[in-house]
Amino acid sequence: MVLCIGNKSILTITNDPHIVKRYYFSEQIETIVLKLPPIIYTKTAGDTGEIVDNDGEDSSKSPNQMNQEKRHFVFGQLSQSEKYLAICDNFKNLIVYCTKEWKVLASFVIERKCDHVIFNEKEGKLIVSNRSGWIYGYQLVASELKDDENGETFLLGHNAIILDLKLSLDSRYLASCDRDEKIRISNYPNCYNIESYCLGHTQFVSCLAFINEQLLISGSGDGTLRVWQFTQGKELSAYSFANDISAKDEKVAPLAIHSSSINDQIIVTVTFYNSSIFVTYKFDTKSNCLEKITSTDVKHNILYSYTFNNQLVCFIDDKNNFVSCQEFKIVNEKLEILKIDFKIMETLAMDDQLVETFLNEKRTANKIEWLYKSSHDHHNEYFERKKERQETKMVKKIKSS
Amino acid sequence: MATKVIDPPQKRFYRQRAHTNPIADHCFDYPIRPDLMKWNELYPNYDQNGEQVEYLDVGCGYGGLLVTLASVYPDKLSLGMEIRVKVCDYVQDRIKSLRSESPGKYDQIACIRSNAMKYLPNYFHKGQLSKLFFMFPDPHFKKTKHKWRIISKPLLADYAYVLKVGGIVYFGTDVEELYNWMDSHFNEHPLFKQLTEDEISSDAIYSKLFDCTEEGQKVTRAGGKKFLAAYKRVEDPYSR
Ligand SMILES: C[S@@+](CC[C@H](N)C(=O)[O-])C[C@H]1O[C@@H](n2cnc3c(N)ncnc32)[C@H](O)[C@@H]1O
Repeated sequence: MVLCIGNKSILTITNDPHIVKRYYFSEQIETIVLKLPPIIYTKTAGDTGEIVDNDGEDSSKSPNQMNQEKRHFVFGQLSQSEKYLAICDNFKNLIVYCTKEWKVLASFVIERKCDHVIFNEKEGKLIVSNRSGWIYGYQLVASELKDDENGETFLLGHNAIILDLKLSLDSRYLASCDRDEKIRISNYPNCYNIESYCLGHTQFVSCLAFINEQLLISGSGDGTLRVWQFTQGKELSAYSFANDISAKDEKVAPLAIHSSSINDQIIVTVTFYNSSIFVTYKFDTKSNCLEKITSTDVKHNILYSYTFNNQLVCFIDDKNNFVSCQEFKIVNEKLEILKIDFKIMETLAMDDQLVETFLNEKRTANKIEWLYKSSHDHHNEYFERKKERQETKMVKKIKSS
Repeated sequence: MATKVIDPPQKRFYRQRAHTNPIADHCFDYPIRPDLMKWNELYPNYDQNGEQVEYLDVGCGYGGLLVTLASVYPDKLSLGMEIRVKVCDYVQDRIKSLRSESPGKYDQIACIRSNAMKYLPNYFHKGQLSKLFFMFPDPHFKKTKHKWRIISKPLLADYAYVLKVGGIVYFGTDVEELYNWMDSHFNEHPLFKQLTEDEISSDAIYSKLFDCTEEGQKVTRAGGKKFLAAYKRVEDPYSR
């Protein structure tokens, strides 16, 4: 089951049969039976392997095994305007639909399971990161392609698993972050040219958000949010969030950073893995620091969060009430967070099976413990033996003289 | 004061399995960002007035190229980066011994243990390096292990990032297939351009590269073929 959220509607895509249900915020509901192009089976793995698979062996399944598997969708992403929907199935077929007539606009076979899919500003291109830590661009409009091109371009690669991917507001830079504490700022679309690295985090970097043309905020398993002048890779401030969420255990990392501007103020809302609290900060443009305004407890762990029009939608780990929506308002110069109800969310939540599948999938996907790196040294033994060797040599020398 | 000469290290104490997985988690000590690197612990006369490491030998093995760099470029700081602990330790002991034997001559070379595939941006600022060497890199023949190769599509962007415009990258190998792989990768990358014959003939280190590294000497002894090339870092041709 795949859930895609946009500004106007929420889509659920179910398998067997492949049906898209579109819930508009205007409370209209649409049901579309997807016409799928035939499955194209992947060539065997190319020159990259899964970064999580450390032994270097190929982990892809044989075509026979694949043929018996049922087609199901693993990923979906709506474009900003909701004109397009990109979905990816278990055969690594990436299909892009026009959501007006539900016609296939383009389809590609990708090399590895995708982790993040984003549309560029003009919605003519897709940027897709895969499990190998590689990022590809896909051209959606076939008429802009030369004859010998299939629309796929290699953009860049990390040497660790990519945890988030964002395009700058002016689409000139692509920011990507990974398990190795790194944030890379690449020029876009000429991503081979690295503009900078934003280095400072001491654990995996879990999420990113551009707040304006110069500044980027990042969240990490090291317990901090950092503000960067991203083209220079310069850290402007670091903020420790542990106290804001009264963490039950220390394995808490930011899940998503949402930034919006309300009455000329930059408001930053952060949700966290393994936490039921979201925190709202004010970004001070003079000091470039985050200042906490308030922590809000939605009572159940937040599994996924999304913002639009100063509204925050959190999907929470509660079977009976799996969405929690809030609205941000500034009243008399003070920020107010009001709980709001969307009828359409209630309708969505009535589908027990959908809720169950969604929660299960998110619970599994949100496990982050393995991302933490421990630092034990296996090489002490070698150096101890060496020291011994040198000491016996010294003793021998002294004895012989 | 009479300075004691330290014996050169004996290789037999430093041997280690040839291939290390460069993608797995290892425990490395690396600076969070280049400013935090304590270079003065590596270079005894390191002077903070703008002097920086400019030459980097990636996968330096037993350090033959570093020793040559010290004599060809006595006024430049060169660094060897090696992933295998014992091999790196050997090079460090070798440099210690050389320094004690000929004071002042080897102060500008050093070796650290690190994974060049992951941590170059932690050590070097953008455009800091002017020479980058890849001599006899591990070939990783199996297709599924090509991702372990030190020259690959994604990594070239990092090499271009640490090299200044005009800086040079050198690579050499005795494996023809690997040479073609490396050459085509550099050729296809918009930020690299092959050196011309003229540029090569006026280069002080190019002609010495084959015979100064331990691996190169081994290939010479066995009468094997060798392949070498050099590319220059150029400005991004892309325009909006
Ligand atoms: C075949 S040896 C060549 C050594 C030396 N350049 C020579 O020509 O004698 C390749 C060396 O690269 C090292 N190496 C492999 N991957 C590396 C990495 N990711 N970072 C640093 N060193 C690496 C290996 O440990 C090995 O010592």
